[in-house]
Amino acid sequence: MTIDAKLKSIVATVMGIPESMISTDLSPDLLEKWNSLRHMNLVTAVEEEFNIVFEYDEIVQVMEYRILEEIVRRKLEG
Amino acid sequence: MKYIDILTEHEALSSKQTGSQFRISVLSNITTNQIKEILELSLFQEGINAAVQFGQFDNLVQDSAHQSEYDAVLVFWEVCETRDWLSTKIDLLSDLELEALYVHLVNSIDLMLKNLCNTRAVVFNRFSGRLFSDNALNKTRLEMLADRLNVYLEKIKPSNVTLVDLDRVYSIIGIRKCTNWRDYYNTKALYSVDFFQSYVTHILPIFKSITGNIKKALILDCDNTLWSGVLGEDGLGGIDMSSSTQAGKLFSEVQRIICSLRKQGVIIGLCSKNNEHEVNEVFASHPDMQLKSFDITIKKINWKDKVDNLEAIADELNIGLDSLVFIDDSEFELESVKSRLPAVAAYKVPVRLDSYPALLREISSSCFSMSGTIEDARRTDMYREQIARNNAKAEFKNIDDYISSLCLEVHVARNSCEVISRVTQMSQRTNQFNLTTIRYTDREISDRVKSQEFDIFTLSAADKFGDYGVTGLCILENLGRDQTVNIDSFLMSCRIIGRGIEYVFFDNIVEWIEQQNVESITARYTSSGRNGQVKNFYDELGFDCTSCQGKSKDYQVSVRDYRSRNIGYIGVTCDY
Repeated sequence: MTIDAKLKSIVATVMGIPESMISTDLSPDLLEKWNSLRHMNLVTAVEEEFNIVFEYDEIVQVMEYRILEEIVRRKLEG
Repeated sequence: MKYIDILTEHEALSSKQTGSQFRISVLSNITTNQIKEILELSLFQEGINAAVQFGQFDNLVQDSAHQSEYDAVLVFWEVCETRDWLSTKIDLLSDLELEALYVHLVNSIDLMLKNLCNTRAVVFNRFSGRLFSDNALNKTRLEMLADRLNVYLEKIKPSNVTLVDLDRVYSIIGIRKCTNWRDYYNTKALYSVDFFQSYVTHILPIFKSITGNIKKALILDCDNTLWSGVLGEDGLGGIDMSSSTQAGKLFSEVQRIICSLRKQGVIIGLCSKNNEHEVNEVFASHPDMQLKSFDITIKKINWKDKVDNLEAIADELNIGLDSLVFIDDSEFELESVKSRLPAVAAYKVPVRLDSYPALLREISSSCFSMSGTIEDARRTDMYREQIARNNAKAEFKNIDDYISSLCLEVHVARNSCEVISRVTQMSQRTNQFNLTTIRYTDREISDRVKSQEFDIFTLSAADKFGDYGVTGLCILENLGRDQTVNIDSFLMSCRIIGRGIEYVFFDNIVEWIEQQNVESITARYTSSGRNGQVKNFYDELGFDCTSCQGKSKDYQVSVRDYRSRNIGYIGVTCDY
């Protein structure tokens, strides 16, 4: 599975939405279910799946699907 | 289990939940939200439709006053947060300030437990400062404060509270895996998802016990399960369970664990493909056997399918398949049992034999840890007598002939304090002959025994084969209007059904009701999915069905119209 596919499947599971709903600009503003609790669950699941650790600043930044993907890619490459 | 898999599985199972919800509230002074899916999933898997909700952050004492709608309350009261960042600030406090904090906490605990006194189950974590001093040689001030609070908790602990030792959970997964410091310092989420998984496994027996979800019997294969080797090939001298050989000592230890389970009241059975007389000889004459034939309540040693044998075992013991735990070393047998009898909890003897005793200890704590009572220890004897009775059955021409030959004696008691824990246990465990399936805690039963509004009748029975102990329960609720009493609960242990005892018990209760000048009795049958055998019980007793809603049917009878069965072959004594 590609990074994108894995991430989409995680976001879909954590948010409880179909993958088709996930666009690059998906954010807590567009998706009401994306509350602070689900945000924490998302970070936990992504960290475990890719074996990476977010800095606290990064957790705060991840307020859009596009940014999440960017940070994950940067960490995997770095 | 991976966290994402927990979320996926949780999502899948949560849409399938039916039946009444078991509501759990979490009161906490740290962020614990990630326990929700983990705890709910574990309970879903046990057939409990759980719903976890959270109180206000760091509002434990205040919230404790508003918990009446919950079946259980979970308390995460972390000593490190009893003051903001106390873990480090505590070293800067004067002795006087520390004492004032201790006194304040003790008063808060008192108030909180008082507020929660009507909650059925309070799961209260013991205080621990261990996370902040994992490698310290000397106790820190935080640990000393936690210790003092624990001594206090232990002293005043009410019966509806279970204290959970967090240090045990820390030690299972390793203390450093328990925390996520980044999340603690940013969102006060002290615990990791790994911790919550381990914690939930640890406290699961509490929920299983209050929802009546308890295993009753441990059924074992013989070859390479109770001893090393195959009896049919290696012979009596070739099998090994000696405490002095490499392989034997593990089986010797396993047998000792099984013996101690038997002593706690777990029924032990054998289900093995072997020649029965050969296995009997091992039990009778092998010097290294820790288990003796009197430890074994039931055995199916033959060449038939194990699935059929397990069904027969459940049938003869008169317990559900979901009350059985089965251990075997054969992958083939286990797969067959798991796929065809999914209700049976089936475990495989580990390939690495050194971990076999640990597996048994784990089964012992997750399946069989329950409040032990004297009745428990007697129970296995009673099941053995039950089998003797079944064998005796064959000699009589008809069933009435047989029943009268048993010389049954029953004793009916009212509001007897001595049997409270047995009454609780019956309300929690009895599934089949149970008209309303209302589960009670010790506390609730003892309150009802003392209360004017309730009368609790218990029945003990004996026959010429032995004593059955307390096996019947009826809780009457005095409605105080129109001279009516309501039957809140009526249940009988399955091992005494089929002898007319239930009718004698009922007749006696009605007789007592009549003496109180009560005019009518109301009652209810609520289907639980497992109590189909009593769905017409009140119809048979001549009650009129007054309404029928969903899974419940309401009944009424006027005391004057009640017809006693006058069963003559059972001797009755009363104590009311």
